[in-house]
Amino acid sequence: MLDIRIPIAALFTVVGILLVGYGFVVPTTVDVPFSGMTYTFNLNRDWGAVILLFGIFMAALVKLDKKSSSPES
Amino acid sequence: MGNTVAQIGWIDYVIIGVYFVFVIGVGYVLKGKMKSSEDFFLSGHNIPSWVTGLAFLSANLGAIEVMGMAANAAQYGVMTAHFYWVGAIPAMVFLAVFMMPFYYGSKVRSVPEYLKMRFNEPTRALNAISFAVMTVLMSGINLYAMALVFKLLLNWSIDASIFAAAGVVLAYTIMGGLTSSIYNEVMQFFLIVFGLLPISIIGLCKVGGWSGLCTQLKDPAFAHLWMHAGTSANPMGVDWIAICSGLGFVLSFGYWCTDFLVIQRALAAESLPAAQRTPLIAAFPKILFPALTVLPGLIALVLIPGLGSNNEGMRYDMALPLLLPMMYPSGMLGVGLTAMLASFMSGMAGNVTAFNTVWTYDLYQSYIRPNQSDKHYLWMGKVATAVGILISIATAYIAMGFPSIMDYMQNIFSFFNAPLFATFLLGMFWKRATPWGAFFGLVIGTLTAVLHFYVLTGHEPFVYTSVMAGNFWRSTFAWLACFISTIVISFFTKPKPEEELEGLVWGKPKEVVTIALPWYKRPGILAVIILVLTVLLNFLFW
Repeated sequence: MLDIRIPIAALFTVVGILLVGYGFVVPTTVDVPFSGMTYTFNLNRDWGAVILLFGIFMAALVKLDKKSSSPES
Repeated sequence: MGNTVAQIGWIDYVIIGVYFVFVIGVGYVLKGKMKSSEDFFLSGHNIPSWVTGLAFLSANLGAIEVMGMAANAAQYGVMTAHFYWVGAIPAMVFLAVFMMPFYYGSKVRSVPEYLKMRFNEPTRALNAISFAVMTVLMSGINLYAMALVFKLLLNWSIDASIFAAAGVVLAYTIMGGLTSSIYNEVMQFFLIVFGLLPISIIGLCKVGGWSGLCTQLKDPAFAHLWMHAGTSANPMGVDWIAICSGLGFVLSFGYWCTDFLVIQRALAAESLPAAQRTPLIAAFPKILFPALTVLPGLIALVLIPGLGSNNEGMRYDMALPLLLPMMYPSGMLGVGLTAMLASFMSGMAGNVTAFNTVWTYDLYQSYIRPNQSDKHYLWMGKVATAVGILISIATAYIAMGFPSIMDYMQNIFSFFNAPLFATFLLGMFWKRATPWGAFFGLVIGTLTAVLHFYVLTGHEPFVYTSVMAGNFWRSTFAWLACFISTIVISFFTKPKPEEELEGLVWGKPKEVVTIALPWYKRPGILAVIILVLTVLLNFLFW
């Protein structure tokens, strides 16, 4: 049966790359006030990176599982 | 209204397109694994518990949940969180610890099948028919609600939205069955978290944190869960008795413990401990979901002037959809829209997969064409999927004709789910409950709900301060009527022989092999942790 982590990893990696790339090409910022200061984020680039990391994390889990279940050479 | 609220860019369409490709692709890959009806309807009972747990949660995360809870929060305040911390968590824990051993251990393929084994065929038929009707109605409502949101937000054609979404759902459910539906529900869960979390974070910062939000709410009672629940003089119009009995007990247990849409996900688990862990694993993120649904509703109330007015584009339902273009640039907007699309579509897919299973096993195989080959029932399952989608499209257009869809659906739940829970409670925990006691109890409970709604509501003392209060009290009366009449009729009718009740009722366990589990896999320990966290949250937002 298809390991569900594979399509999750693939989807979030692709979306993450799209967002990060778009964030660099068309930078759009969002101002977020916090504790009296204002922080400026490139939401596509920054949150896109979070999504991309999640996709990579899922892929890493699959690879680790495959490694631990494969017979020793 | 011809102008769009959100300016959607090419990148947003690309992200939505990528999602469509993935969901259909998952269905295509799984197509080859669907060799038997058990594979198609129950995923071959080999899904790990973390997957079934997230699917269990996501099957419930349809349009009504995601948009509806934000809308409720904008309308009733943080008391909406009762739908989670009172109206879901205790029932999910009860299901896991006490009811799942009977569901999974009895090896039933559906909830109506349990009723047939525990009671008789008429009880199964009554539940199967009412569930089948209810579930395609819900599917259509998901479809219509989605089309309406995208019409108001992006000026998409309602017809095109309905047919496109139905087409995608048809493709992946007919190819991959329940497994495809479950896999997409898990993807949807992560999409909702990553697609909606920034709204809550950015929105909370913009309103000055929780304390800043509370000072800007017009009604201070909007910020409290229980403080104003001593009477019904609060934003939701319900007192603590109605909250605990109507929502916390009857409606909540009636849904989470008996609705096949969610139970089906647990039945797909690879073992009984995994099936028991399924609702518990779902309960952990469920506890935190108010941060993604209730909180944005409150934030929308502060940041969107005029929300809740008579203007169609400013209805409370639009609280969350309107926050998306407000907070997100193009790109993230695509992710947020995809998250909402995913919740609508998986809500529809979940209902269709539950429908095709109940139709095929409980109605077609039981009464129309019994004793056919498994290949025949697999074929019928696929036909039922296509028919279920077509009926959903039709019910979406029917739903368009009703002024208040949410109230309409809550009425349906109070008619069918509330009395059904009484039947299950007695069936699983009282050996003396008889088949005809259960059947007539269910009929009487449902008729009580119908009588309450169509005849009594609006006349003293059945006058309620809100529609929701009416729903909660109706559920309580329907449950009581079913519970009492089942007991009374049981004393006058013949019970099933005890040897036929093995594994179906408390006190008649099947032989089980006990395996040692680490603490984090033991249902009892997980249940205690979840309940403690829930109680703490209730105090925190008192």
